[in-house]
Amino acid sequence: MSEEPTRRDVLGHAVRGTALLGLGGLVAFLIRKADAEGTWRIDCDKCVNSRLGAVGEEVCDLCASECVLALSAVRAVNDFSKCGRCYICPAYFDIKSAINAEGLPSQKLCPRDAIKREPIGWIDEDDPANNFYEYTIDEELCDGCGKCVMGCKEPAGLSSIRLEVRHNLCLDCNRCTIASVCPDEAYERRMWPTEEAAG
Amino acid sequence: MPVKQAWVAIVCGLMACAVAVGDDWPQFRGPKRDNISSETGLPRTWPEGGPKVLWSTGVCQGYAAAAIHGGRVYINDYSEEATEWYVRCLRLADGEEIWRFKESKRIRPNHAITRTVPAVDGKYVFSLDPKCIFHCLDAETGRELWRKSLVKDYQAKIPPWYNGQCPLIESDRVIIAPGGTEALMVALKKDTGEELWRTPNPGKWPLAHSSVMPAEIGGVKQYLWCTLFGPLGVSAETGELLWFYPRKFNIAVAPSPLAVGKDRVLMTAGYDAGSVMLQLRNEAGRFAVEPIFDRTSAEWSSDVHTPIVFEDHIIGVSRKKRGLLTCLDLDGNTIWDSQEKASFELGSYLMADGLIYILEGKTGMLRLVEANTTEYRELASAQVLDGHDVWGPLALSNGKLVVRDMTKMVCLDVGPPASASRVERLGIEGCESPEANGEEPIKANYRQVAVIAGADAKRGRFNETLNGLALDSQDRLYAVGDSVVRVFSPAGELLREWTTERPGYAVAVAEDGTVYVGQAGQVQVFDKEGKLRATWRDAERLGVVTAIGVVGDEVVLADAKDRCLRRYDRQGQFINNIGKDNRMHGFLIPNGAVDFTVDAQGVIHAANPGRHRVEKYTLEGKQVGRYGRFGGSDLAGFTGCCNPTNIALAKNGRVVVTVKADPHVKVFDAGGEKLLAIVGREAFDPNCKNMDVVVDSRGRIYVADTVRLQICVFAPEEAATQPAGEKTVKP
Repeated sequence: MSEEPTRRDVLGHAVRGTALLGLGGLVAFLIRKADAEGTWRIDCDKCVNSRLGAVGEEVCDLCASECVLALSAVRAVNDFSKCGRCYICPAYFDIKSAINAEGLPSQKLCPRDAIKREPIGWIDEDDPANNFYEYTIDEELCDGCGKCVMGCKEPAGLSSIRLEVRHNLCLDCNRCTIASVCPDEAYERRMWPTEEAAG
Repeated sequence: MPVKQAWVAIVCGLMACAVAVGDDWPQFRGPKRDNISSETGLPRTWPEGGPKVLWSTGVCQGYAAAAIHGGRVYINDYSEEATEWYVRCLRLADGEEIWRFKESKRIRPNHAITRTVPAVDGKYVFSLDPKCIFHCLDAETGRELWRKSLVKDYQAKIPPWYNGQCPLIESDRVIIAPGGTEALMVALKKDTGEELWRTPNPGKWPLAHSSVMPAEIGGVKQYLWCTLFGPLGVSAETGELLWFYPRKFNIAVAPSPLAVGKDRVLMTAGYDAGSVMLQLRNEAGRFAVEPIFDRTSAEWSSDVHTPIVFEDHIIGVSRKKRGLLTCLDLDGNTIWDSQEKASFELGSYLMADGLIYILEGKTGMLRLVEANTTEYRELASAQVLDGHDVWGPLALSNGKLVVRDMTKMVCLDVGPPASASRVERLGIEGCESPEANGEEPIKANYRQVAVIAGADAKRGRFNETLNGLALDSQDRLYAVGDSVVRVFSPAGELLREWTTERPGYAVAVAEDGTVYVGQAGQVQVFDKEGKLRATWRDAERLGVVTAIGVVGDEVVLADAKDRCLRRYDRQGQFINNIGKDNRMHGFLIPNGAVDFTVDAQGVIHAANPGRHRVEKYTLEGKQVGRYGRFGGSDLAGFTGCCNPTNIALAKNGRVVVTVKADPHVKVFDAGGEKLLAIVGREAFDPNCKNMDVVVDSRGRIYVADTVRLQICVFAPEEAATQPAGEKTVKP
């Protein structure tokens, strides 16, 4: 046998119901917004900096130079799960620079020194060349020029670094200046909710 | 990618009868370090589902591949759980482990762990482990005999991604490049590790992943290597640095320098290093080096694997389009590639019998491609591994292809279907009677009557090599090997001995007792007492003298380096070449030696093992006949890559030849057509090859066992009953 609902129960149901309705409305609004406008994304399989098989190509830095923002909304991102943590990282070092006394390339690759590294795990003093390093990208410095992405590409690297659009920075322009010059049509508007649902 | 398994077994009758008997694959890139196997009779199609998997074994993550010798597979391996590093010895037939050497060692999975191939000669196993300890093991038991530390002994630094270098075995020595401040390269005695020479390293060029490659350039035997600072060549004789070409390579140099012809070297590497072809000129002992072309990685380069030189072309996987198999001419122009047909990423490959076996580096698909210089032509494909990172080199021996991916090693049967049963039937365990095949019965019987310079001999043993035999008019036996000539009585007693300047490969005795000893680059002439009378030096015409015959006032020499015979007068003046003027510009000798004999009419009978026959020439070089044929089902035929290897004629005209891979002797009638006897099926070490043979005046056959370093004597039944040293039968 059920008891009569108290005034407290009725008020509680009312608040929860209102909150659910509001949340549902917000989701619907966002979906409609996304459906209508989509977001700017970079297709790594098209971008020359990350596209496998495109070797000996010049690095494309249009993401850095063409964005309307002073510091582009595009950043390089290192996927730690794929990173080899190498002593001589082809994205960290300019591997074509002269070799120094320690047997390392004498120059770094990033023109803005945005990549930092720290040794991690067991440190073998007798075998420094096989210690592991964690490479992180300083998003305050990175401008998405793509040099490290090209350097990390397979087979030399493990393709752990890719370019991404930071949506908290992106102004979502309808006529994105990067997209308009991207030679590979890799910078594209994606109606991702519907496409991903279909996919 | 869908599995392409559309090939149906179409094996023609000839193929069914063929026998895939071939060389071992004793080290990185095979016997000659050229990544080409001398196996023949390999099918050009595969059954549906691909080649049969004979066995598989789990291996530690990596790229360490197999060396195969004498039916055994040797691999480097590691256990991450036990933190132990291994050298494992497996049986090629079924993959069963025979022994393993282990050592506690902590190695990180830095782009995988294992990545090198041991080198084996049947007696020793050499392995350079990830932390640069160089081990010499007993091939039979796996017991460590000696070791060197590249770090402690030569002040080398362990390179990033650990050691990637594979040792090189050369006759009595093993070559490695420590890349330490104390030594750039060293030659060590195989048995003791004693240093024969070392190359200084004033430039402090660091240890690279590249391996030492043997080459002969500008007439000088040398060892090629490459560091991050550029390729170089070191004298094989002295260890002196002969040349160095400064060119920067990046991060790591995985491929090895590739000798192209007699005066070029190709060096290619990954990490945007590109490729450079060098022209070397020997200018009175000093090498001048100039680039013929220098390509960027966008044009052509190979990241990991060293290409193959094939018919004046270069075949390898380039970095472009995710790994196109490419054929280049010697000027670096692309003749064909696999674009829109296949991409191999960093997959490995080898060549055999006009075929390329090549793995897709990501997927483990094995493709069979025709080796040619006109187009990419695929013959078959099969999914043989699961991937990923199928980068480890391949190894092929006796129709068995050993491949691996990141964690699994697999042995595939790529030989002809009948090979296994046929090899067993022809195995050293016994000789099948020709009657069983409906052939004529054997007409002659021989039995072994003696062993000369054997293990029991108190005097006259050979230590390292036994190469050439000859008889004088008194049936005294002359044998050369090591750097010595030994003369034995017909009863096998050592009569005298004397040294030679270099190891002898061949010996002959003239009627007047003059003794000619063929060596590398020269012939030494001794009188009958062993006193040196002359040395004929001719680097161009006497590359490696592997046979000698005296014909009246002339001497005929076999030059294995140029694959032909040279006719000289007794004063050492060159007269003409023999066997050079044919479509192949010489004899086909994958076995590395030319042998011949001369009959009573002065006609030369020269073994042409790559063509499975004996060719007859006049002294002027005109070919006047031939006999012998390829045939696996026909006991009178010759099989494998290259047989017969050596030849002698008996006084009664019988043709006596030796064959390798299941080594034995075949005796034919005077025309060389009818097989009379198969001799010595159980007498020789199974790894013997190029067994020199002579026949004395009584028909006794003397054969050099080149592994056990002894001479086996076989007598026809009628002579076997006669005491040694007594001649009662005079032909």
